[in-house]
Amino acid sequence: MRKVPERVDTMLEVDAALEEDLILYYYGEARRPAEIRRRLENDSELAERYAELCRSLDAASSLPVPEVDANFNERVWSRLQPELEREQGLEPEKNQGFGFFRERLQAWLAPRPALAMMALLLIAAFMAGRWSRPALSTGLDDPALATVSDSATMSDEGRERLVLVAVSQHLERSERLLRDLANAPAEGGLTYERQSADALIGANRLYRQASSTAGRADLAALLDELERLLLEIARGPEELAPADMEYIRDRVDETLFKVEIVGTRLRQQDSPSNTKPLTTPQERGDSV
Amino acid sequence: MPNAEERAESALIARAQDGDQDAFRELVEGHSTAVFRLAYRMMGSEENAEDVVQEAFLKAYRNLHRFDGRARFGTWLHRIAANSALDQLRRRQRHPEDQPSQPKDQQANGVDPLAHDPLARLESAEPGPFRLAFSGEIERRLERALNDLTPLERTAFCMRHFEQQSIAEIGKALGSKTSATKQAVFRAVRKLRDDLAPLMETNHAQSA
Repeated sequence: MRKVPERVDTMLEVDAALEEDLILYYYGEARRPAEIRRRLENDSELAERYAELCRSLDAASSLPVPEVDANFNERVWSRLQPELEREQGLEPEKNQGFGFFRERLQAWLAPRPALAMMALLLIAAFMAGRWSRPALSTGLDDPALATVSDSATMSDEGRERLVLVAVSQHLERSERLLRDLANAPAEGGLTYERQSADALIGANRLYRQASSTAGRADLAALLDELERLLLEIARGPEELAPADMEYIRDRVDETLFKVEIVGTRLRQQDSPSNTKPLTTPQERGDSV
Repeated sequence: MPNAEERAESALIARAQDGDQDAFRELVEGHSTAVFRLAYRMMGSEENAEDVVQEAFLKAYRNLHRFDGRARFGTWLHRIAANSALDQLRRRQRHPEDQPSQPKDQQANGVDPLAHDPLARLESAEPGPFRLAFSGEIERRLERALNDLTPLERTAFCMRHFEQQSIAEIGKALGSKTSATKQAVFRAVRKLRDDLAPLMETNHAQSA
């Protein structure tokens, strides 16, 4: 049996700083390359260790990458284009389903803050009626909410769909913002992200209050966490130091994870084929 | 002084920044293969790499207004792709159950293992059965070692090793301190070496 080379043991004992110097030297980033070169010329053991490092790293360079197929660019673009059109607000003509209705409703409500507020109150009233447990219904007797709720001519199913649309859409937008932040290059300002966060705060507050009032502690907790993060981003400095950016990214990462889960769950319920109630009594106790 | 190619790309970028999708498509087509290569090295599967490519270009489109030409467009794009891949690696770490099957057999994907034989760069011997077996073993160990790296280690290593970006540039791109980035690269190299060293040693002795 082949003896395990002593060099492996020796390698483990190598002074860490020296080894790091060799790695940096390999990549052309050593602080004192001339000194290392001299040592390599005069120290055969070190030279052999460096040769071994080179062999391993050269081998890593040769790891194969599959060639892209002839349709790769076409495939990338066909997946990308609908997203770009969504970004530009140009909904593809073929999409005439519920998503189309949702976009149109949002576009229609955007310049009408009073109506948008009314819709939110309707949602809040609906959530209160739909989700609250009798013992937790404090604050739900707000006459304004009751009036909106009572005067609504929409069916339960219609209102439920509106709730799903509004909350899932809000989470989707928040998710997009958080993802942008998580991937933002370290250089450059955060003007766009700060404005987006600011725009989301008002709606988030309403959804959080409605969820809390309705006894949906899990959803309210998520929205509370999201709100604090949105506030931090919106009120934060335009430019962040790398360490601050890292801190924000960690927080974004945590919240993004939860938003993804809840957003996906709501979007699944938003599916027209899924007509089951938003929550079941068992689900009310679930935590996010 | 920018050359003709760079000037043409600058013009495309300006048009794309004005909302011209055809211009953006040309930029996508010009850079997609290189972005895919980086993404594949970071993700280890074609499926995940394509997702990263997708996400990177979408993110680039959203942030085109922030591209000011200080860095090369390709470099800027690769940083975005690296961040997207890092994001996906972290997600994968949180949800290992969502991980796709292990990297497909390279030969089945039309990749000739001999064309990229790591040993071919080391010694000039004919690819006999011993070398073939070794080449496959090195690939397997490398893939395993890369999969064992943390998302930050893998990202930092790929950017340093395959993209030839300096440690300072990597730290800046990932929003991480230079010292932390450096340590991530060191840890990655040590782990790869630990996995490969015995094999490389054996091969070196055989070749000697």
